[in-house]
Amino acid sequence: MVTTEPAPSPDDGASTGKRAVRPPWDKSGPAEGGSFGEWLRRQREMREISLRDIADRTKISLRYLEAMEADRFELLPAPLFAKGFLKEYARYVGLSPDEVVNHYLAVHQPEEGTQVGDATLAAMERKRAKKGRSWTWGLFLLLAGALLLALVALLSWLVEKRGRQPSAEPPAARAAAPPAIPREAPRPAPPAVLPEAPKAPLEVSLEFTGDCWVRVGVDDKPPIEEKRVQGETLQFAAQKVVNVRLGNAAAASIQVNGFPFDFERKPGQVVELVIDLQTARALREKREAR
Amino acid sequence: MPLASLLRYFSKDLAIDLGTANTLVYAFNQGIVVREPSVVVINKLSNRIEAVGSEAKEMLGRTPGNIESIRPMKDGVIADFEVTERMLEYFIRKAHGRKMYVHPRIVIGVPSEITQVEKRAVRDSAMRAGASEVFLVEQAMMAAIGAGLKISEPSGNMIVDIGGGTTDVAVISLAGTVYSRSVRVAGNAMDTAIIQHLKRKYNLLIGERTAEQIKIELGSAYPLKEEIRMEIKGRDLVEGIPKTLSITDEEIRDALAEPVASIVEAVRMALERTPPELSADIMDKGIVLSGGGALLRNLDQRLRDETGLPVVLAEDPLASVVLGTGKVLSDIDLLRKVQIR
Repeated sequence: MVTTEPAPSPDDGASTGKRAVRPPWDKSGPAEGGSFGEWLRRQREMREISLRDIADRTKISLRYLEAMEADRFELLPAPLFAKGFLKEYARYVGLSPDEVVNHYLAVHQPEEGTQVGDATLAAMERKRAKKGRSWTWGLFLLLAGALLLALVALLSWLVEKRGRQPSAEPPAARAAAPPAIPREAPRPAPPAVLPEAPKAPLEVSLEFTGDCWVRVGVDDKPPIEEKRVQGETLQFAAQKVVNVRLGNAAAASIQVNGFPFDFERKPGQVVELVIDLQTARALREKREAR
Repeated sequence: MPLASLLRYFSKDLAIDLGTANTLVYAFNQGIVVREPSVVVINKLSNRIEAVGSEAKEMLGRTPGNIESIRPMKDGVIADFEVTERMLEYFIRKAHGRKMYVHPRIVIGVPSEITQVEKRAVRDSAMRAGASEVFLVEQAMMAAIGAGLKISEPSGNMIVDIGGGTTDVAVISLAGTVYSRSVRVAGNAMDTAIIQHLKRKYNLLIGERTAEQIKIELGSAYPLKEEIRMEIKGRDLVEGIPKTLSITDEEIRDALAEPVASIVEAVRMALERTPPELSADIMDKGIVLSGGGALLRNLDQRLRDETGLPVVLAEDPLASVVLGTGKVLSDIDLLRKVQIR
């Protein structure tokens, strides 16, 4: 069967590999020349097989067989069928199906890219892919941008909020270092107060035995808010009243003018305490009564 | 969930062919990234996964008592929900190459005749495996798209997708299914038929993997030009000792007669039920075969003889479904059209 085919397979392998400009079957019949379809027809006629024989055997319609021999592969329903039908044709005529398909691809590959169904689908797919990706990216960028904006807004709001607190006392200091001031505010307080400690009618000291959030308002000054950990202490000197709010009642103990101040101490409980001169007096009287 | 939907922008969209025999994963803009058998090996004591995919298939039928090898899919649907979920999770992560923050949108192909419960199982296991959104599509339709058929045209196409668990026959026109039928006879049924045949005729017991090997090397649906022989090893049921046997392709053809006849019958049934206009189109173009079962030797010849229609094999039959699903992944309009709910 294969004897009639002059072009040996190694030759074909090389030429299809290179996608040679000169079609591989031309070598088999240089004098005759012609296209791929003509080559198919010659191979068939050489073996004295009629198209109808092939159509009967392979069930491929005569129309398509004729189209293939006329190189009009665009008439076939899809590229898949071109290859499938060619294989059948080759098998029946007695050629190697793979070789025939390789020959076909060598000639019709570039056209196939633009002409046949796969191409339109592929192009569409590529377009969609690009669209899909840009859409996804656009949304992602938008999201990232929004997130960044929100962050900046939050930060500036925080800075402003912190800056406003100390501004009540020293308006000039706000511009200098707004975030630093509230941190410093409670600390200088005890040393500043210490020398005049005896003068201050109300002295409150907090001792922490665990993590605790605390807010303390001394007299009419704006309250300070902080988180304290185990072992730390806070001291305040006030003229009239000290408002204390604790995030974790069990983690703090309070002394007023050196006397322990009792309150309900459940873990995790938030307590609000108002310590004024009356409280201090009551504590002293209680101690003296004992 | 809002976090998952945000994270999906950092994950590649995936197309999955969750098959009875093999699972293939196609990543958007990347191509097929996973092509492995649907097998999971689990340590029963620690409930830990020992291996998934190719590695696990090697262990199939060779595990000690405390280790179990499981095929979580059966007849094209989920048989073991939990194991399927873990297998999917493994494949999804493998496709991404990382373990954290993987929440892709996933398109999964399912057989045409599955129940709502079975659909739900597929959807849920994909969601639990980390998907942010799951779309289900019909396998036969995907096979047609993957094979390169122009399904959106008003012209009939017939596709026969022979997988591991099910054979899906569908007639498609205008991106819709005109007729579809799914029979639970496919690759696995052929393996079983071979096992049964050898047991009955030679009292020889062979394993699943050997049966599959025989099917691949000797299996055919129509007489071959030259006879092929093969040595097979198994256990003699009478004497109880290992034995070697030499069998021919004819023997296996006999064994496969029943499952092949079922497939042919399904195709004939589909042809019978196809509206005449579409019949004419199919008469013209013929039948397209896809799926691993399409690789059975001379099955196209057999179908051609039985139906009198031209039969064409898809180019990469094993990957047709996942390639089609991958195409749908990048074409939202098409996905809307073919999606099943």
